[in-house]
Amino acid sequence: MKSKCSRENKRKLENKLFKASSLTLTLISFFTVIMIFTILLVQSKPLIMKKPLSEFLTVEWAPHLGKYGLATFMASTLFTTAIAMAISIPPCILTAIYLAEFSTPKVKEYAKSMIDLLAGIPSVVYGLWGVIFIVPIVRDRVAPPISEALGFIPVFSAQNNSGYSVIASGMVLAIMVTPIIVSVSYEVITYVPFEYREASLALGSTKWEAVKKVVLREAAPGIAAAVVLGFCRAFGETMAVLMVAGCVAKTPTSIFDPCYPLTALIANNYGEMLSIPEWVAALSVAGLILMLIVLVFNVVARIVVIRTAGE
Amino acid sequence: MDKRKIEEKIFKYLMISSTAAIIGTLALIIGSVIVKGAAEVSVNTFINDDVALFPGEEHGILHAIIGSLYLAINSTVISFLISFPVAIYSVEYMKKKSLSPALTISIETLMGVPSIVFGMFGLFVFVLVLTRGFTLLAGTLTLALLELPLMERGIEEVVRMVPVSLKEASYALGATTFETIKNIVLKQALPGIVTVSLISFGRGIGEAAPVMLTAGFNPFPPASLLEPAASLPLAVYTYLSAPGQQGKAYASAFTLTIIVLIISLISRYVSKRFTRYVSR
Repeated sequence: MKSKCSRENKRKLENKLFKASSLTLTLISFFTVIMIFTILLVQSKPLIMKKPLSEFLTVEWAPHLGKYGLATFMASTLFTTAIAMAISIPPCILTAIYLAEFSTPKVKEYAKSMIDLLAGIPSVVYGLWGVIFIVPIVRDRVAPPISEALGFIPVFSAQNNSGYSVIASGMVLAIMVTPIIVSVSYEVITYVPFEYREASLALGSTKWEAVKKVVLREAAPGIAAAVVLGFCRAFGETMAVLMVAGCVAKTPTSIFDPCYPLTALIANNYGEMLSIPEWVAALSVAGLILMLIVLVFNVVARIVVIRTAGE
Repeated sequence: MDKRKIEEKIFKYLMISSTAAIIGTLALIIGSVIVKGAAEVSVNTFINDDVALFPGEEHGILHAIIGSLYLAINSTVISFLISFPVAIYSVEYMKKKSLSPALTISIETLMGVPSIVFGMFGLFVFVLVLTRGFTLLAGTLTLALLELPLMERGIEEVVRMVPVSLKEASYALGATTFETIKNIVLKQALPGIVTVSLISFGRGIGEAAPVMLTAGFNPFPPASLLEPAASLPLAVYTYLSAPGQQGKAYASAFTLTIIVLIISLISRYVSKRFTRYVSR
């Protein structure tokens, strides 16, 4: 009787121990984001306390002289991301519609597993592909004819054409964001109730009209969220951009100019920065900017996706 | 022909061509990396280190392969040890339904943090404070943190799919929650957990930025947790810009791509093959 009792206790104790330890781990993972944020904030304190925030919006980056303007890098990040989105949004959404509405089940299955595969390729492989494939094409085939024809517009002039450029980074990023935009858009499109399509088709619309006027209108917030998630991926991407952007600290004015995104700045300077606390602080500010922008967009997009899917 | 029909046709062609373009690009990327890499790969690539011991001996990438495997396997194990209890807690133990969305949002937020920011965190906490130098341990911990949200979401999803009736049967026999988890939930969710772990492993082995900021680089395979370690993605980046060493970069990219493809195939096989033995 006694042994039975102690076994009973042991089982309960086991359960309690597991519960307590998993609660601890849950709390730890709950606060991880806040912890990361706090650490970056603490590290950037030496500079934030000393200088007004507007100081970071200047273009002068000279850590040895105590000038920490991040505007050049922010402009580069925005420029490359914008190009990536412009290239990738139309084909991605068309593909998502095709897979969700028009394709045969077999095509759908193959295409989706291919796109999953695309999502799993490491970013450094995209970067390598950018260096051996995109950069030479931009340098030899794309930049000369375009700058010759449209060179009088500053955005298209190729002053120092090395191929490592805004447009090359934009192209590589465009491919990298494809899987997330396609798969999330696909998902929200399939969540649109089937009756909606039937109602439209019963009124004599073609299949495309039903998609255009009913399905897409219903799925629009979700598709917008998919685009935002893609934007976040491009915005925070480091390695691929580091390899093809050229990394010249000068604000790019043309799509053929080299650029220097925030992520690449952090990756290139982490070694040297450790000797100067202010340098560490400046890069932490860069990290904070990246994190805040990406997080705000990400949370909003996720909430939209969950709402659209939940209905 | 009807204007509306023409519009439908045009858009259908556009859709088919963009799908083909995306899949074609994928084939182009994998194809060109594999072709370029295969030309640089020899037996020596896989058995030699960065530094050739004898004159005339070919350099290899063994150090990067071993470093990467250490990093990815250890970080996946650590990440699993944290995320499995968290997922279980949020599904099985959490009483207040109001807390669950908060945890979900927190984990989703963590998932959105750019990998370079994880790297900075690892640099400030693990490298500068914990191990005082670029080490395998710091890299592993940083990667584990990066994989944590991915794994937690994945395991939670799998655990949620375990049929309530099975759990109720276990409770009806007088089992505690822990026993039910151990005997029912874990067994039912195992194929899913294996798939999720493989996906996390694939993510971990491909990450370069956080590893660069925490694990450093080492021309030899690391002998202890407190030594810097090379990794395949970082080898691609490092050797690509090193004069005369591009061959090693292509070989590393080749190896990395093959590993990722194999992982993806295995995870698909596991989730297809073994879900048959799980009752739904």
